[in-house]
Amino acid sequence: MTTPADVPAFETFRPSGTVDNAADAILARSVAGSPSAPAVRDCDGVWTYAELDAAARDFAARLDALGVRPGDRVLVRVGNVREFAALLYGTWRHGAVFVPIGPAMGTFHLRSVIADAEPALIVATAAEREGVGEFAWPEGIPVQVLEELRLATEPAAGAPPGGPAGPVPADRLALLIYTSGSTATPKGVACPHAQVAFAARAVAERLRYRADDVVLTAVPLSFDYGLYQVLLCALAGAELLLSDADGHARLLGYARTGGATVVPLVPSLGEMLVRLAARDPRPTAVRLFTNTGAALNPPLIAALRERFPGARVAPMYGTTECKRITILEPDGDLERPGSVGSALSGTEVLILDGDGRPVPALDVGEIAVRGPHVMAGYWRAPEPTAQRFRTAADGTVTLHTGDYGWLDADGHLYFQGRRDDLFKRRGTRMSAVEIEAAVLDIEGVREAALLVPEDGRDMVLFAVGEVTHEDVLLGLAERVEQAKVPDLCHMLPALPLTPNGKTDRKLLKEYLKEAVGGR
Amino acid sequence: MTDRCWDASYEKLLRGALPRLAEKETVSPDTSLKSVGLDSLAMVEVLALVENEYGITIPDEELSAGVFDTPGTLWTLVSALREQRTPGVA
Repeated sequence: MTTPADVPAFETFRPSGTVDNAADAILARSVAGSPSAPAVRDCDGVWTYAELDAAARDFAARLDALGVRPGDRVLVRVGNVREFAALLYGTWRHGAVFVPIGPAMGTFHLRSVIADAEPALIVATAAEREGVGEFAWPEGIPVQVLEELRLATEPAAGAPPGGPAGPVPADRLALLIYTSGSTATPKGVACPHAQVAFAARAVAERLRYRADDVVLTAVPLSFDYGLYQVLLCALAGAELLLSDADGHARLLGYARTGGATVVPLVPSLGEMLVRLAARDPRPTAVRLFTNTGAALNPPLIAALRERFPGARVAPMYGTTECKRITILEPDGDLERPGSVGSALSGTEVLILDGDGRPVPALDVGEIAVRGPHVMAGYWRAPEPTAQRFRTAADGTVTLHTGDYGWLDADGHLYFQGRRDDLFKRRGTRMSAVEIEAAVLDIEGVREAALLVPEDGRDMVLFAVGEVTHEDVLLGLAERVEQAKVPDLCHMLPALPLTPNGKTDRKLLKEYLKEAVGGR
Repeated sequence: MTDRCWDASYEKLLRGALPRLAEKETVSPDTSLKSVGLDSLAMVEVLALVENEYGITIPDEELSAGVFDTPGTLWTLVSALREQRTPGVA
């Protein structure tokens, strides 16, 4: 195994059984090297790296004062604001575990997350001082209100008090990230300091953010795609520019005045930028769009290239259980359409058959991952952990993603979907992804989602665009085998989305039940 | 405050962009647009539609969260901008 080239590891002496604190590994260099450079900006103002560091140290001291112990969880539900970065680094510096929760998480999930994480402290906005809607914060857990924190950002004269954050035990968690996935209750992915620092550096090596970049982050910071933007900016000394969901109608103007050069995208944000750029075509400074979480479809990538000339597109693929798996070099989709790239440096991607044996190139199998970025499993859930994080006799852990795909001869990955997205119909094997891709190839179709056969129901197609459902089915029949053409296609004004920007298939199924009587 | 004084094309445009509004028999000025499915993507769609329909440009500084609360709040802004554009024709 190698560490990513040209991102030097922080060389510090530390006792055995300990690792660098991720706050030092990620933030310290920019604080020391460019203290007065802008670190994080939101619609209310900006902090330099020195100010961010001071605010983080102040929060760490307050955790001490509140009696929070190292290893305790600090649950943070504040949205995309500057303070998020200070709370993150402050929590790490103190040794507590940062638990980001999105403002979109409903009370049903929130209740189970709080019971599972058992936080020692909650940080919430003033509007949620008492709780969220009907749900009151549990008694006995102190709540700090974001608007009343007033973190001290005045950098101390001379060396900052407390010096470096210092090493932490190797099993100390930096993050607990809850993913809802397809299960009923969210599971917490346990992310130790060393894994987080490795993943951030490995992604940084591939994406190469620059010190003069301004990274417009409108994806939620509670989502690991958003959260790692904080880390990638710090590694590069770049500026993190934050937009909250309320500001999305102004996003393009905000990108322009803020000088955004890099924009991480989920499909809904990409659609939005394309529409906003159609009404205001003045140029922007955007040089790079990245994408993960849910894939940008080819018509959307083409529209982005047209509306943002000069911007390149870097598709990526990952899962919170190891953060990121593959990254395609910017504009690599032109040469390898549909690929999500090759494995991060120092990590391995395998394609396995049902017995866990590697399959030859071009064959579809389960995507599995090995490397120093594989996280420590699910929080307090040994069974799901054993199922997905499989440890061999020699101690090697293989993360089974539950996703399916194939590798080309050069090790570029092509994602095909979840296990459930692969199915047989009329004797033919197929995947939802391949049918959706063929539908998107039809002139006038902007979005497509296929519900796979389930509980006696045949597959059903949903499409969005300026065409009729007959056009879609005829167009599809020209492109794929008959067995892959559904009998039913519903046209929608837009696909429903989850808070993280993925197609909400549960809502599509409900729509089928309610609007079309279950068919 | 917000009586229903808008024209038919405004209502048609909202119904077209928001399927859950289309199911309702009448569009009330006080209906919460969020409750009928206005997410940020739909917001941008409605924005582009009203700008096209009425030949106005809504400046970014007017795009505060409150504008898209209800059909009434959005119509108030649209009518104000139309008046600015064609003085005397309210």
